[in-house]
Amino acid sequence: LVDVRKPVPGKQRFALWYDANVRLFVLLIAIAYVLHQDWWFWHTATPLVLGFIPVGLFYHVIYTVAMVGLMWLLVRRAWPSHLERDEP
Amino acid sequence: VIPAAVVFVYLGIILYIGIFAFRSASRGAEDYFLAGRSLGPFVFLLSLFGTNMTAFTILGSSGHAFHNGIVTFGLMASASALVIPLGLFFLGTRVWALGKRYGFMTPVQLFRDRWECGHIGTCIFAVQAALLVPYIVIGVMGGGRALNAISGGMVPYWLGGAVVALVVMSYVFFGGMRGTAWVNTFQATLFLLFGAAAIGIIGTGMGGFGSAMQAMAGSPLLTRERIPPLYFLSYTFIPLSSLTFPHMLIFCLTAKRMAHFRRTVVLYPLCLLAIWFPCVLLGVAANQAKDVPAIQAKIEARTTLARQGPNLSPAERDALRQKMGADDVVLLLLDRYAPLWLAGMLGAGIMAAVMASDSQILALSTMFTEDVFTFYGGKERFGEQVQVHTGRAFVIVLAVVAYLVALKMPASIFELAVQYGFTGYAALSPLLVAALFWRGSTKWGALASTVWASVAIASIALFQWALPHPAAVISIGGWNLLERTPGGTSVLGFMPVLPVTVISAVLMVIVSQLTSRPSRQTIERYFPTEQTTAALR
Repeated sequence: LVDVRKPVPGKQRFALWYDANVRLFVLLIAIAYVLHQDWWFWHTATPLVLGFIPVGLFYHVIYTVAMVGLMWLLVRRAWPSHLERDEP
Repeated sequence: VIPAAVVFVYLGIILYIGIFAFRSASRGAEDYFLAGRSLGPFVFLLSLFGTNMTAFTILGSSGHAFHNGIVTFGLMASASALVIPLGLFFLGTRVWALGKRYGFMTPVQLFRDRWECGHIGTCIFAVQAALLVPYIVIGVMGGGRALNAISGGMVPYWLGGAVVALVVMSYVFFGGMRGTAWVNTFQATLFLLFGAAAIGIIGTGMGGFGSAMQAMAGSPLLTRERIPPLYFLSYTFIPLSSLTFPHMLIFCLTAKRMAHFRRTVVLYPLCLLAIWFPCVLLGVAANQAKDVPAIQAKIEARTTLARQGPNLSPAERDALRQKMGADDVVLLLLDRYAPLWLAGMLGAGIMAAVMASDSQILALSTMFTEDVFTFYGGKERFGEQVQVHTGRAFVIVLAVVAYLVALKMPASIFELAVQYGFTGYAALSPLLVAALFWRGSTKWGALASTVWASVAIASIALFQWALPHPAAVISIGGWNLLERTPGGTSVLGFMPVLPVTVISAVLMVIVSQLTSRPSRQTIERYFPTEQTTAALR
C-alpha cells in the first residue's frame, strides 16, 4: 500500500533512488530548504519593496509563493496514485 | 459595547453552524469522530488550515514580530510553507489511505497495527495527550483575554473564558467532527478576510506603512539581526510538529477522496501567506504607533530591560517582561485605528483563531474513546452508541477541566508547556515516518523515541523553569552545551527541537536494528512487493 517499488536487478534495496523523478524532487526539496536560510539579507533592510516591505521580508514572501510552484510540480509529477487504487 | 456585541453575534453563528446545521447526520462513531470520512475539497482545505491556526498565529505572531521584527515571518511562515505541505503530501496521503483501508481513526491505532503492539500504543497515547492538554487550556485563556480586550474590559476574564469554553464544548459535543470542520471552515474564511482588511484599515489609520517603515530605518526590527542564524536554522524543525499533531492527522482521515489533498498541498502556502504576512507587518509597524499609550509602555519596558537588564533583580526583570507582553498589539491597533463596528468584525476574526481548541478537544476525545475505551474492550462490552456517548462525555469533562485550570493556574506555565509541546511533537515525527516508510522499524524503536521525547522535554522545561535568564551555562571544552537564553534554552547554539528530534530519529534506527520486527504478514500489508500486489489482483 505504502510504496510499490519497481525492482532493478542487483539494486533492489535502493531502487527508488534510480527513478529520475525521485532524484529530481529530492534535489528540488533540498534546494528549497537551503534557500530558506537566506543569510545574504540578514543585516539589510533596504530596499523597501513597494515602499514598505523590507527586502528580507519580501524575499520570504516570494519564497512562500515559490513553494506553491514546488507543491504544484510535486502534485503533478509525483502524485502517489498507487494509494488511490482502493478508492471506491 | 459594539465590538463585543458583534463578537457575541459571531459566537451565536458558529454555535448554529456547529449544533443545528449538522444534527441530521448519522450517529455512528465514524460519523461523529471523522465526519464519515466525507469532507469535500473546499471544507477539507479550509478546516485543515483552520485547525492549525491558533491564538498563537494571530496574537502570538504579531507580538513576536513587535519585539523581534520581520524574522518572525521566516521563522514561522515560510518554513511552514515548505514543511507542512510536504508532510501532507508524503505522510497525510498515506495516513488517509491506511485509515480508509484498515478503518483507523487515530494515529495510535495505526502504530498498534503497524508494530503489533498494545501497551506501547497506550504509552504513545499518554505522551500525545499530555502534550495536547496545554493547547486546550491556552485556547480557553486566549478566548478569555481576547473577549476581555475586545469588550474594553466589560466582559471579565473569567466570564470570557467560560463563554468560549461553553461555545466550543457545545458545538463539539453536538456536531462532532462534521460541526467542527464546518465551524473551522467558517473561521478560516473569516480570518483570511481579516488579514487583508486589517492591513488596509490600520495602514491607512497610521498614515501608511511606507512612512512607518521609513521612520524605522536603521532599526534591527527590519532585519534579522536579533536572531542568530543557528536558531533560525533549527526553527525549521518546529513545523514537523504540525505533521504529528493528533488533530492534524485525524483531520487527514476526514477527506472523502485522496484527490482532495492535491488542492490542499498546493494552496496551503498561500493560506499561510495570507495570515502571517499581515500579522508580521502589523506587529513590526506597531512600533511606530506613537499615539497608542499601551504600545509605548511596552516599548519603554523593552528599552529599560535592554539597557539595565543585567543590573536588575530577577523580580524587576520579570515585571518588565510582563509589561512587554505584546500578544495584544493587534487588538490595540484595532481599538485605535478601526471604526467600532469594523473592530467588532475584526475582533470576531481574532476570536476565530483563538478558538481553534475545538479540534484539539475533539481529537483528544477521539483518542480516548478509540485508543483507551475501545482498545480495552469498552466498545465490545457496551456497543457503539455508548462509545459515542463516552466521547461526548469526555468533551464536557475536558472543557470544564480546561476552564477551571485556566482560572487557577498562571498562564506562564502553559505558555512554557506549549513552547515545548511543539518540540515534543516534532520529536515524535520519526515515529510516523518510520511507520510509513521503513519496514525495519519496530515497536521498541517507537517506544525508545517516545520515552526520549518525553524525558527530554520534561528535562529542558525543568532546566528553564529552575534557572531564570541570565543563568548558568553548561560548557564543555569551551562549547556552550546548554545555555539559558532570554527566550528559552539553546543547545550548542541550536533550539532544543533540533537535537531532540535528531536523537529521537537515531534512537528509532538503533533500537529497531537491535530488536525483532513485526510478523512478515504485517510488513507485507504495509509494504507490498510486486508479487503480493499481483497475488492480490
